[in-house]
Amino acid sequence: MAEAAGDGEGEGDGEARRGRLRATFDRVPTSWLATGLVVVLLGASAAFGGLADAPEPPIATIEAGRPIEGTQLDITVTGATVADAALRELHLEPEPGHRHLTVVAEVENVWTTPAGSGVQFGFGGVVRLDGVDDDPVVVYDVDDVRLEPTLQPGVPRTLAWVWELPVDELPEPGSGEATVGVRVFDRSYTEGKVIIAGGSFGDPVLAAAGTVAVTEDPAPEPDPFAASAGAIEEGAQ
Amino acid sequence: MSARRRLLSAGVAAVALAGAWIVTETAPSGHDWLEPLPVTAAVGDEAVGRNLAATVHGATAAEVVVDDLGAAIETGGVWVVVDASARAVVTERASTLGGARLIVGDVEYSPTDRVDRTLVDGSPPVGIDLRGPLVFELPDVPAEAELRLAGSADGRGDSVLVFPLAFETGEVGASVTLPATALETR
Repeated sequence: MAEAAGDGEGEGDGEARRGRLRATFDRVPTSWLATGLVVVLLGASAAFGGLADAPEPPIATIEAGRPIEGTQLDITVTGATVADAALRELHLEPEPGHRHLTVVAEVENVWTTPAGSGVQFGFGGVVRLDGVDDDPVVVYDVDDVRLEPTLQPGVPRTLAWVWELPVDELPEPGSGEATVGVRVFDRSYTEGKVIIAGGSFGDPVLAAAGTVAVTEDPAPEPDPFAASAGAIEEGAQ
Repeated sequence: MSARRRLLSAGVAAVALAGAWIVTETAPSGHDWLEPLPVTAAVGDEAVGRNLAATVHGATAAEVVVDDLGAAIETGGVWVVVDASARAVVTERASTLGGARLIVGDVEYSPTDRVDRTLVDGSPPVGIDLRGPLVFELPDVPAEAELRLAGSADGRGDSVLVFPLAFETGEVGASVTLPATALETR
């Protein structure tokens, strides 16, 4: 019986406790409950790694002769050269104290429409140098020596990207192993019908990075026109 | 409600539904109203669009093209050379063949920029045919292709001339000498 009495007292205590609990609970503002719930959820997400850095998708490593597959272009970087003037045929001369760094790659258009030209919207943003923000001075077709080429689907061409850099920022091919950091970007396709007509590639993301050995481009043959101009100047003096 | 009236209501509903279905099926949807209007012609016939009229005289494939200055231009693929003439219909303003494309399946090729002084570099005048080559660089010879000629790559709401072309597979000439682009007297 004592037990039963004890139980009865316990029930009475329990009810009173529940009543107090309910009274306390009723005094808690609703907004606190909402905030508390959010905090608990955020805490749980943090406990499961919600604050950890999102894993970056792995990118390919550039090696000479290894194709980097992209959405629009497959790019195989084949080499890099430095020269006093990369493109005499295109009448491109670097400023004093500067030299031309040229990155050469085999490029195939794997998309279904011709791949457009131009430094800014064409191939200029596709291949870049580590630590150089500038766009290349020119992008040209090596075999044709033609600026801003258009690549037809499925017909690979050799393209070159040319930067004009101060001599002290350039690797010196004479001193041991000279390399330059190269980055290849992939772009995504957008198509418009009303305000923009047709499709274009943009929004480049880094697809591959690596170093490429740099060789010295053989000194160009003396420009006969410049020599004769010099002769005329000398003659005038 | 009498049985007759009920039948009438059902009939009206069925007709309305059928009508709505026909309208939905036949009305231009999405951006169809912007699509270019095709004018198709066979090889040898003239296709006349809003401001461009053109005739395709023939098409060949070759490994090397020799341009009008005698330079031999090679390709890792194959050259498709289309002999065509074009004239403007109403105005010479912005009269070009900038929208010329060769369509093979889903793949689209533009006239090559590796050969100069072709028909795409000319400006077809009103009433006089400008005849010259259109040169395309392809990976290999297609069995059939479709040549589309338009003044601009943005062909919305304008006509586009369509010429179906057929090639015999394996029929690749060693070399084609490109004729100079010139006006033709009728």
